[in-house]
Amino acid sequence: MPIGTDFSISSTGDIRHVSGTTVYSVLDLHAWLQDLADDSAASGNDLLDILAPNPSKLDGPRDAAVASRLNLLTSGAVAFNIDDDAAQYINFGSIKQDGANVQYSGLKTIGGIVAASPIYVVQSGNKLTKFWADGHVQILVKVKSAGSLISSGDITAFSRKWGQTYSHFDVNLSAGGESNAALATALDSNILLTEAQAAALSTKVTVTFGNTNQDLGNGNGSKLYKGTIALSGGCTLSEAYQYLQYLTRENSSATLNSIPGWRYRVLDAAYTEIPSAPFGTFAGGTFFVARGWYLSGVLAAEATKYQLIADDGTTQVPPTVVSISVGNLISGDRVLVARDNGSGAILKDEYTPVAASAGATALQVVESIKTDTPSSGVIRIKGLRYTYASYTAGTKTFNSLSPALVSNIVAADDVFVPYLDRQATGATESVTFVYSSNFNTRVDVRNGSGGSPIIPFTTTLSVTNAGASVNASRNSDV
Amino acid sequence: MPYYVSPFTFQFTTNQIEIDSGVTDIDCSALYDGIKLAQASEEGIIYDRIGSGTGLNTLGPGVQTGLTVQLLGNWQLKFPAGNYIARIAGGNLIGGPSDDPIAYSAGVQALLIQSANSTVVSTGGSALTTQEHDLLVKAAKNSTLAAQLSA
Repeated sequence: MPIGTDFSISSTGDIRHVSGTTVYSVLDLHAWLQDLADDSAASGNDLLDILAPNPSKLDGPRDAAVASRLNLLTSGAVAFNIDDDAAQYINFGSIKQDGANVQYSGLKTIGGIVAASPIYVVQSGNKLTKFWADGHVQILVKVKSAGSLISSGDITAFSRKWGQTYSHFDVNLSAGGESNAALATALDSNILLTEAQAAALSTKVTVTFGNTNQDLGNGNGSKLYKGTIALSGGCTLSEAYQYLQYLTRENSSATLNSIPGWRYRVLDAAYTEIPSAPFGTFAGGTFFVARGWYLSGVLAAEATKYQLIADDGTTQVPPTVVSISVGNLISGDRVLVARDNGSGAILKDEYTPVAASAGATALQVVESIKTDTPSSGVIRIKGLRYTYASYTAGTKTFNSLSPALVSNIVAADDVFVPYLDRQATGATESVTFVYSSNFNTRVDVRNGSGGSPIIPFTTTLSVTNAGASVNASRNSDV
Repeated sequence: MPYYVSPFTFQFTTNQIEIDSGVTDIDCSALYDGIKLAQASEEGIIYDRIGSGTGLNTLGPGVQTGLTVQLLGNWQLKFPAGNYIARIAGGNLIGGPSDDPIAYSAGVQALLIQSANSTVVSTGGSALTTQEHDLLVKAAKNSTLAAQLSA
């Protein structure tokens, strides 16, 4: 259909869309207006001819290959203009009118997206009413009204369809012409639930904004996070990810820290955004949580299947907690599991003590305390068995020794921390600690008393990120 | 830190089993009981084994082969110095550095009573009946007579 059929022009310059669905370029509009303007007499509903003022002029070259910048002119009582409805049928350029007090600018989305990905445009915090079909858009957006730029000309193009990765792009349209917004969406294989199923997870996932200091126990100490995602009710990380995507999809009705979920982007403006998943991505069974969020209530089976980024930007990986277990014991067995010295013997000089006096209840060592040291347990000092309630990595100190040191300690004295050093009270003795790297231990199980003496059981045991376990052999001694 | 079980003091740092003063007779079985307790103690668990024991195999009701205690590594038995004879009996004691299980103590003469085929006979139970007594005497006489005839 010719443009003249779809639009009308009033005697005062109002250009209005009257029929049809064809979208014309800004240059098409200019060409049509100029064509009418040299007519000897107006006809039909296009009241423009050579007696009327010049309706339009281009700011820039007339080139059909590039977006045009069109000025709709005002002369006396005749002010050529389009309205918002007419603007829906014009693209590929910008239009100024009313002495540049009103401006429509071109927006075009580009990039690799899933076919027919729905796209919405947010301006001043509100979604623009869609008049475009799904898929890439090329439209005019009103960016100036009554002489003032709307939100400084800023808009954001979003695509957040359930089942796809999300995308958004900020554009400033104040300069006119046509600007591009690059979007990228893909099918999200980690979305396994329907929207209804995801909605039902609201009872299992709670999102709370607010500072919290948390220590993952990974040796990095307490870190500041600015929000908490609390899981409960057996919620898996996969479910949590899907629910959080649900909260931020295009049709979300959630409000996140006073921000509608459909335009929620990041916890703190200073953080780098993750357009594809505002709360973090899920890949290979691991939830890479967006910066600033602390995750609580993670199932034990998934204790190492997530990764956080603290407020300070440091990546925080939860520790791998493993255990060493010795089985086939009876109550009364003496069990010792200690780090191997490389030759099958106990590493008795694991640490060099800083001199300490008898009566002290803390012992500082020269070397850094190994990160795979149990948080509390037994420490052997000069061969004697003490317990420690904690250790401070920074000061390399074992705290709350019990009993207090029974003698003075000098640097030459042996100090080591066994993993197990106790008398069994049941069939199994075990200890848990944070895995750091593989190492070997020596295991001793002895029982020399009563009616159940056994030939001392000794073996070496390799500890991996799966921990280690061994059953003692019980051979009766004479 | 040593471990003590009467009359033995196990010195883990010097690998010596010190005998209480005044004790001159050591039974291997008691010694080995002490060794088992010491090496399974809180003090001893971080050290290598002190000794091993073999024997005490059952030959029949109440009869076992003798006990042999081997001291491992550099472990030795040490008596207090003095002018006396110390006896180690009730089994065989072997091992120690250079196969010497007894550390030198001034003035002490240590007597290791060893046997290549020792047995342990448990006492107890009921006495022989008259019938059993007669059979036993008869068997002994026959054995003696056979030996004399074959000589």
